[in-house]
Amino acid sequence: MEFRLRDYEGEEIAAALPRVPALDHPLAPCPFSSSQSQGVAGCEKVDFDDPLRVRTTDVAECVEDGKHVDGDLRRILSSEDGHLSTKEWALFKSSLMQKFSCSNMISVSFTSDILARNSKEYKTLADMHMEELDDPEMVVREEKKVITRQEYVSRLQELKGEISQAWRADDRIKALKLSIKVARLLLDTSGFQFYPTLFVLVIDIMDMLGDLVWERIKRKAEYADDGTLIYSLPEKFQSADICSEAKETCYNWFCKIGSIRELLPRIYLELAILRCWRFLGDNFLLNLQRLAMMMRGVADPLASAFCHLYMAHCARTLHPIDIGYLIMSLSNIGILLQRIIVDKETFNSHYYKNKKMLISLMEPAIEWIMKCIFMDGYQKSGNLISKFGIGGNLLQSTWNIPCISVILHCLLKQLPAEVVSNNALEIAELFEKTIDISLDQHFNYRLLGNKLCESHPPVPSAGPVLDKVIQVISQYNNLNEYLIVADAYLDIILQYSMDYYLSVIFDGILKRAKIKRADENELESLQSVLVKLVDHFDALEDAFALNHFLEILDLLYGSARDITSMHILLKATRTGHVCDPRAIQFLFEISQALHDSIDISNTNDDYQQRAFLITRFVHLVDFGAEIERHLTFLIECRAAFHHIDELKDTLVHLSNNLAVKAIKDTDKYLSFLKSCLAFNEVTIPSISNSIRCMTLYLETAEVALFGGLDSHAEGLVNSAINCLQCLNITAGFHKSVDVDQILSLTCKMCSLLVMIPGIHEEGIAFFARSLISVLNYQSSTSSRIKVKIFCAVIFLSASLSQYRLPYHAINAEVVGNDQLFYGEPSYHQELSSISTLALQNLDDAIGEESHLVTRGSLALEACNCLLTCFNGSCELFLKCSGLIEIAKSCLHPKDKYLQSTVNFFDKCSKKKEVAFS
Amino acid sequence: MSIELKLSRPSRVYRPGESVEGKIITTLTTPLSYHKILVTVTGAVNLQVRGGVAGVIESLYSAVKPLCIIKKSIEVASSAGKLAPGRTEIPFSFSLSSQENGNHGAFYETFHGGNISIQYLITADIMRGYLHKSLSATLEFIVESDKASLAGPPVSPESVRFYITQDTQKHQLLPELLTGRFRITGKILTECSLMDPIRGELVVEASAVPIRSIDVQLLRIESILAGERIIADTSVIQTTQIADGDVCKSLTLPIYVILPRLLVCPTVRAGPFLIEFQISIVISFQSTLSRLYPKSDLRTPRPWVSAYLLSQTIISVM
Repeated sequence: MEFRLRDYEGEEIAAALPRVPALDHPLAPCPFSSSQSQGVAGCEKVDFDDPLRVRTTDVAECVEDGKHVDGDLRRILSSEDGHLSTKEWALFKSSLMQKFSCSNMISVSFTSDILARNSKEYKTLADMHMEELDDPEMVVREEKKVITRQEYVSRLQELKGEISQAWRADDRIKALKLSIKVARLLLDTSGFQFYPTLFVLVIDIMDMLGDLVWERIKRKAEYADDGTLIYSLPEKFQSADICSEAKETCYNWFCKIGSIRELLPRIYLELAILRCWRFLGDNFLLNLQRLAMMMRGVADPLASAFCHLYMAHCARTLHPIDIGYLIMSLSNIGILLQRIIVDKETFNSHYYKNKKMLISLMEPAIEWIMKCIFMDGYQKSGNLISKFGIGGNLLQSTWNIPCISVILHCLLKQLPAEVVSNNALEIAELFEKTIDISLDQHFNYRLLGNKLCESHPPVPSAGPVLDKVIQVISQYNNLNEYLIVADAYLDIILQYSMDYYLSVIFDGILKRAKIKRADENELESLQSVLVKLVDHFDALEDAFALNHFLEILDLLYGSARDITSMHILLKATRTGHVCDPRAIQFLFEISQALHDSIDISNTNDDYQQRAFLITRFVHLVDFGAEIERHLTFLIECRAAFHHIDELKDTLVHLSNNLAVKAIKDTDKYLSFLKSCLAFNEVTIPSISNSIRCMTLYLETAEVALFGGLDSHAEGLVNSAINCLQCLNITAGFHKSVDVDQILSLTCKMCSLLVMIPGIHEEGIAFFARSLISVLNYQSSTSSRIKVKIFCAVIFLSASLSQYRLPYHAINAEVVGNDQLFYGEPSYHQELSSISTLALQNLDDAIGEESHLVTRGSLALEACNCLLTCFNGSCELFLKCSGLIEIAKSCLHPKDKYLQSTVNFFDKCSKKKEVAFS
Repeated sequence: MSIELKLSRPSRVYRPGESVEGKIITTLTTPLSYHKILVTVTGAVNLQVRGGVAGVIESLYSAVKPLCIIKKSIEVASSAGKLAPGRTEIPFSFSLSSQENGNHGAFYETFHGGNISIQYLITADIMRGYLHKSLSATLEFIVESDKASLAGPPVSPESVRFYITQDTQKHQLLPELLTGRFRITGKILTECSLMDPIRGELVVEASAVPIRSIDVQLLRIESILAGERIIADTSVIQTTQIADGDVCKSLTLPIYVILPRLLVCPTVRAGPFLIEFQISIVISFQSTLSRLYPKSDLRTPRPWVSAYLLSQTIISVM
């Protein structure tokens, strides 16, 4: 078969589509239509309602409420703002349980034996008189039992089950007795880390009992004895709506609970059925106040705080208007706190070795109560904060609540940011007056700072506050405290560019850091400070220009340092390029540190991010005309960041870039080009992924060709073929993406080979042969790859056989094959022999394909290839018709590809016939 | 064959002057002829002196003759008749008017105490002649005095102030107490209605020894005129803790005691018997001794239960 003579330029003109200049850019925005569509979108957004969200809350509630509470009750509970707070309360409870996890073992010195699994005692109790509700067996035992937390929790769950079971069996007295016993557990605060968990478990049971009682009385009010509905209570009923019998039952419950001897269980149970006051009277505020007063009798601070917390929770079901009871709660807790604070000697020293721990346990209760105050009452009583001594005259303050820093802290947390910033100076003064052990003041200052940042105060009002704060923290010796406060105010300082404060703070940090190495907490704050600084400035240079910035950066180590470095890199790489040699050096150093700290412990994400940032940095480095220095830098990078595989690609790309730049800009580039190529030749083999290697080899080969180094190019193409070999050996089959990539790379390689002079010692067809042999060596390679590559080889030899090649290397020093072997018969012989070899293999490869459709399309592809490359001859048509037959047997007769190929075939054969005739 | 009594009010509470309505319900399998059907109402104060409280001699004739408040019989069916098998309801009614019980005393409220009990019973008898045993059923009903009919304001908010100091006490811990000050003050209502809680307040002003608990005890004093002497018996009917632990000083603690139902009645000062109530405030201290005797009656003086103060406040319950 003979290769067809091609007229590439003529064919291109013939095949090109007619072109018409366009008036508009197709992607340019069309202003008229887009505004209209925006308007429509805006309208739609207004009444957008997420149906999923509504449903999920309902489901969540159903799950929470459990089976005892039916729909009616839930409706009452969830009316108004109660809806939100039930959710919040659930969250709060779970946080309570998690926050104070304690050791697994709890030593129990119970006054009641309820946790012992001894049920025979309960049986006789049912018929006892109310008077004896107090456990007559109450015995103070000094001995302490130790049980596991799990046992404790499961025992309480069991008790809950027992109570609801007893209730359903109409044994309400037993249910009440068990509930009292459960409430009595809260008397014991000795396992005080466990107390919050215990509290949550116990009030769970209390709430259940409360619901049961409420339901029972409601039922009495709504239904007659025989179960007929006589009156349906509205949601907001008045006590006048309730029949006397229901009232009687309700009052009886309060009497029963009133006869409990011990104070704390009595209060808890009354709180549990607090809602039932609604049946008896419309004025239940007095009861709330009385209960708050009664809680003063609970001397144990922890028990008292949680009791107040439970009241705040229960009272919300009544929707009280007045929040006086909450204020009273706070003041009671405040008095207890003050006692803890002031007391220097052994206040229950055997229990609370650590006062701070105790206070931290009480804090959630204070916080929740404060939250309740602000949920209900802030709008209604605008002068609320004056109760805490803020906004009023401090000297003649008649405080209801003792000023204690932990209470102040909770208050500040709930206050709206504007209120805080309006009274900031006063609040700061208040802090100075309330220094106690309950909460370190720096937390308060920090909170103040955060609130100030939130509200963006005007500069004149922020100034004095900052003065004050800086003055206060200058007294701190502890670096951590100093940092925590400074960090909170940094935003404001930066926002108003108060450079004076900034330098004061930096000096302060350095002074305190000299004393000792920063520990973990301090590192965290330092990191936050530095990240804020880095993020604030537009350019990194501004941050460097600050005094002491680098010194403070040097204080960091470990992961904090890494995170800061990443922020710096991110900032640096946000600009187009990095030119400043000092900056390059600095960034290089931190990148190196970042790189060196990569180890197994890093998560994949973390590693990815680091690799990305470093790669991006290297990518952006620009030495301008100093290309040699740039290459040196790349070499340094390769040595420094050897862990990062992705970076090597970038390095090769960059070195190629440099080479191209050198070729274009300078006259004597050869040695530099060679060093670039050498760099690449060394770098590429270290990349593990063969496909990427192959890409890079080919890219480098192109550069080499561009620079006129054809022998280098040849070597590189050879390496690429070797890669292909490795690729096939290492993996039997590849993902389709990889297959496509391999195919396109191989095709690209073939097209490169057109330009590379075939002065190889083994002849022009050496590469084609080695390609075929690589493929044949790999019997498992998919026939699709084989067919495509064999076609490519045929195309390659057909092109090379032309008297004028379709394209040439740009560099004049590279001589094209057409000139080199013009009219050389052995050259053409070589080419036709290689194409024959490829043809033979092609047939085998098509036959190997098992999938019918694929086989058909491969046959068609081969057919097209042959028709394009060879002159029409009987042998060719025989072969092609054979291929078309294969395709016809595999494909649908109306397949487009098949039809167009058949047409093409017909056209070629007609031409031939014409020529013959 | 059963007979049952049922009153018009499920709570069975009636006030003097009201008429009590009810019915006798018979459930029979065979017809039953009767001679007559009688409903008897009895109200009596039963007095009894328990052994140990009084002397040996008194305990010999321990049961003092009960005082009758009301006793009357109503013939529901005066002439002989026959009851059909199945369920039959026979209504009856009578009034609790004070004119009718003429020579007897006033209608005291129903009360079940230790030594004194005031009880009102309805008994229904179906007489069946001499050959057959008569069928009968008994039901207690409760008499409460009519609060609305009381003259004047229902409760005069009369209260007393009390002081408990080291001087008011004779106590083993006294030397220890004297190292610092000990003073508890407060006030408490002396009169209140049955429906209302006893309110008051208490302030621990100073205490040298830490306090363990403060309890309010409600005491009942039943006095009986037996022969020529009055035998009084005091019993604790309810203890209510108002402070648990060493409470903060100078903080007002509320006293809030709900009166237990059935165990309390309005104060009665009748000739042959008295029912009165007292409040006492018990302060116990944190002391090593207290651990040794955890279970004890708070009334018995113990070294650690200090300042056992009987605030001699008689609660006039109305």
